[in-house]
Amino acid sequence: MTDRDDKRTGELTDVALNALFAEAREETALPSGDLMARVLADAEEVMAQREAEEAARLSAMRPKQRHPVMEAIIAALGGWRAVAGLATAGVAGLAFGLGAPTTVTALATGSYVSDSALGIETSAGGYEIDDLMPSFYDLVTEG
Amino acid sequence: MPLDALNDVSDEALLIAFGNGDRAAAQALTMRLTPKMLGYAARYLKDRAEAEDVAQEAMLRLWKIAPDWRQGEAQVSTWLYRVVTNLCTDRLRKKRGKGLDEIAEPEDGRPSQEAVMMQRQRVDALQTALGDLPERQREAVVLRHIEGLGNPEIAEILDISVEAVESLTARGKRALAKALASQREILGFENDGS
Repeated sequence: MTDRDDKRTGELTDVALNALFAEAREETALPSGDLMARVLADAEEVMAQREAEEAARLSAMRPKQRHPVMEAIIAALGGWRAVAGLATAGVAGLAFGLGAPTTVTALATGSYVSDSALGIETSAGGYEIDDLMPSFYDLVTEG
Repeated sequence: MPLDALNDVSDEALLIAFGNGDRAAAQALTMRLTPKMLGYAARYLKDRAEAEDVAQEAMLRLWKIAPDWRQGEAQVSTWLYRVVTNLCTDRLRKKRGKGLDEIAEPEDGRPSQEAVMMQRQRVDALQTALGDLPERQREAVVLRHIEGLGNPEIAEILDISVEAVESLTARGKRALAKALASQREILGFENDGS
């Protein structure tokens, strides 16, 4: 509607020009197999790169792997539950030692006698009843 | 998934699928869009090897933008046409090293006049005349009359108004008609009644 080529003398008409456009449209360059392969290879590369970045991001979010030696030690001790039990026992022992050192020393060095006839345990050799319980005064003096 | 099953899937849906790691979507998009972009670039640059490079580069940019593609903002083909247009413009600027609207002298003495070569000749003549148009006119005419896009889409690709597209295509067609007039006989249009 804007062109008036057909009214201009010496110029190609709209019809002729449109016929040329149609011919040009038909002559669309077909991509070679090589080009298609290159484009697809690019797509693969971009996808692989993206997947690698995603994997790196996920692994950065994950807790770090333990050293293999540490892993072997934990396994030898029976796994994390056993290690947790050992740690608890260790801490408890430390608390006893710090809290009532004399008690621990008496228990470790004294002799223990059991009065089976009475069905109760008594301290004939060196233990008093206080030795078996943490002393308040000991706790106070030890801090 | 077989490629046939993807025939009815939109470009955008395929691109999003590719962004999510779907290799079949990449194949479908390659088959669908690469020929279009190559054809456009070849018409623009008149150099097959360069056109292939441009088409590949445009597709590579498409692959890279896939995960960040914003749905509904633009058509994939429109986006690609814009990328190809820009890549071609850059190449021509580097190649020619001259002003954008500078018009080259038309080529003289078209080759072979054999009848079997007539269509080839006509298309060659059109390509040459298109190549001699100012850049924006050439882009608008090719996108409108050869690629068959609508004016709003062309406006989006060229980042201009629809009115500007209409003006460019009208002026481009007029310039083409004038440029090709001298080759009327060679082109086989001597009896077209004008």
